[in-house]
Amino acid sequence: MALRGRCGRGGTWVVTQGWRGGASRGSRVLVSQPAGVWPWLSMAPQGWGYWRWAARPRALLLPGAAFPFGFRQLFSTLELAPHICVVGSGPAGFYTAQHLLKHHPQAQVDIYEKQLVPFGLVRFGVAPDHPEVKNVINTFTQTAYSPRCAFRGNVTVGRDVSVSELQEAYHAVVLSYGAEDHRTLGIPGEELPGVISARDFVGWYNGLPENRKKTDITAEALKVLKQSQVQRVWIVGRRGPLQAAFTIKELREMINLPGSQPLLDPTDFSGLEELIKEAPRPRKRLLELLVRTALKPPEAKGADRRAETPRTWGLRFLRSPQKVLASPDGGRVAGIRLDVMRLEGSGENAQAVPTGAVEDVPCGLVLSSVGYKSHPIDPTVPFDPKLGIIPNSEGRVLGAPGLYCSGWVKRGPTGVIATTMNDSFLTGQALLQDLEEGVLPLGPKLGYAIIEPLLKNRGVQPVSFEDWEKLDDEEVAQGQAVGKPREKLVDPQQMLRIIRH
Amino acid sequence: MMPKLARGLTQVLSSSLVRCLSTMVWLLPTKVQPWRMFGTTRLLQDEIQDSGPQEQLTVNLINHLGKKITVPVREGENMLQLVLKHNLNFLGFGICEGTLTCSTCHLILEKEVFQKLGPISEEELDILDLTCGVTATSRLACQLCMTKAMDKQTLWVPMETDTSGSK
Repeated sequence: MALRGRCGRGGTWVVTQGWRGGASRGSRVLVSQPAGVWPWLSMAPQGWGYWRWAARPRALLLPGAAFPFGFRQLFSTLELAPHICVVGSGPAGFYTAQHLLKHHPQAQVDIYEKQLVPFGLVRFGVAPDHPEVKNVINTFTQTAYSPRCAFRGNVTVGRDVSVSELQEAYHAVVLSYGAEDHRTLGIPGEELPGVISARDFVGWYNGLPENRKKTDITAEALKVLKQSQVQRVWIVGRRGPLQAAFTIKELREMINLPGSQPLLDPTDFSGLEELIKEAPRPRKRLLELLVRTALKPPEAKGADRRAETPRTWGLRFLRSPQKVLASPDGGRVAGIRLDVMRLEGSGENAQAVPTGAVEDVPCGLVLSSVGYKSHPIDPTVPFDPKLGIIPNSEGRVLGAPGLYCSGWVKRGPTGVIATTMNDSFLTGQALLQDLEEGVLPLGPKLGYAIIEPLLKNRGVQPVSFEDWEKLDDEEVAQGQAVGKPREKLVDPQQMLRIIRH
Repeated sequence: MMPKLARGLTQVLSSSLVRCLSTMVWLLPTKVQPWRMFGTTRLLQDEIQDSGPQEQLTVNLINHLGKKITVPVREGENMLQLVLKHNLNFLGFGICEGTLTCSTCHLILEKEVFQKLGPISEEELDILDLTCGVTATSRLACQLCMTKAMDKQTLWVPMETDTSGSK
């Protein structure tokens, strides 16, 4: 055993154990002189100077009144940066993150997501024949590439980690988890096979993993749809043309849809000429297009032509579903009973009231498209079940400091991506304002450093953005093999295997 | 002591210098670096200049904070491309990348300038119908190309503050 020390002459001495270990006196031997220049600069000085050096202040003290102690210590930039958690990686989550990262030079943003893959409805809710809508993914990817942004997929907030635990670890938590449920029709017969929500249907052909589990579909959705026997689709709304919620862009696409014919009834628009003339430009153009299409005679080129375009679609206004009619054996849907409605009041606020008359429409499939619905994520987070949103004011959750919300869970499930984008920017703005004004806790928070061990203990395997890119590459490669932009992976187990490779 | 110091100093300085030299190679002109000869990107500006001499037009863009930016622009250049090329910091501008799927490249022009522009397509009108804060002199940047009528004129980039939905 040797003890090293330094002597006043700048050399190193060593005390060695005496012969026969310990009992006899050890000797002090000078073993080396300091050699070279480089070690001098960082090593402690030798000799008496050592003690002066040892007492040096190690932290840089800067003047500053903002911090509780009256001065700022640069002990760790990571600890001083605001750590913000965003729950949900759809447009709302990503746009909120983008705003925070852009307007705060140190903010660290972690985006948590329930699915293994990011982007929410942009990936799962946009029809495959509208790839241009998904261009926003490029912006989201740029946000995710920021060194201050981290994507944590495969983590279900509310089950794998609670919102209170997130609030302990982060300075602020933004809830942007959208609306994953659908509103039900609330009519008898809704549980019959053949009645599904449009959302589930879209999720099925877009490869939402939970939908795959729910159905017995083993073949690809495309294969199934190619064999589709559907000949006529009726789109039913309980109010009139002046209250229709679709846009002219969608209507134009439907009218021009190859291989199908619109079936519009001109009498639906009779008596509305005056109102159409006085309507604001968007509504007016929409109605003019509807009337024009309704009055246009169908291209009657004989039976051949009709055989070529057997598929038709039509609009039924002033009809509200009362009951789903079952087949004689009670096993499937065979039709739907619609209440005939009339309008009370006019314009956007007109109410539909049943007249008492009914209409039975035979059909084999009923798709309900009456709206999305959010669900409460955690018992500690306030939720308004009637409106289906988190009660908030400009994005600040009421009665819960440090909690914010953006997107559909804040406003309700309406609006397009641009609406959500602006809404998310407003929440981001409110959060940054609170940060600046000192409303949020100022003490250092460790963010993911606290959550990571929690998740590990609970057997949760978070997925990073790099992992998503591995899946992305795999999907694109599989798609190239069959001439598609991508072949979506739908099996979570398969996806985890690819990530672990 | 001094010779040893000098020797040590020389050792350190020479090793540091060698290390610096290997990095300084990148400071040489690109043409001299043979490993970088391939794949030098041509800037969009270079392309445009190559297509022959043209009059330099300018346009003024004012953002929602009132900040005015004057940018040089060629005749016929697409306005969304212009904004992206100059990296003008309009947050959330042109998110659908010019595919007529959003309304975020909304620009408001002056009445005289608007009237001198070409007709608006039905598809652009469809999107303008959905645009928040749309005016009688609104256009979408992704559908607007530079004309002489717009030279030295002002285009406003409004901020959509209404989040109640566009309808």
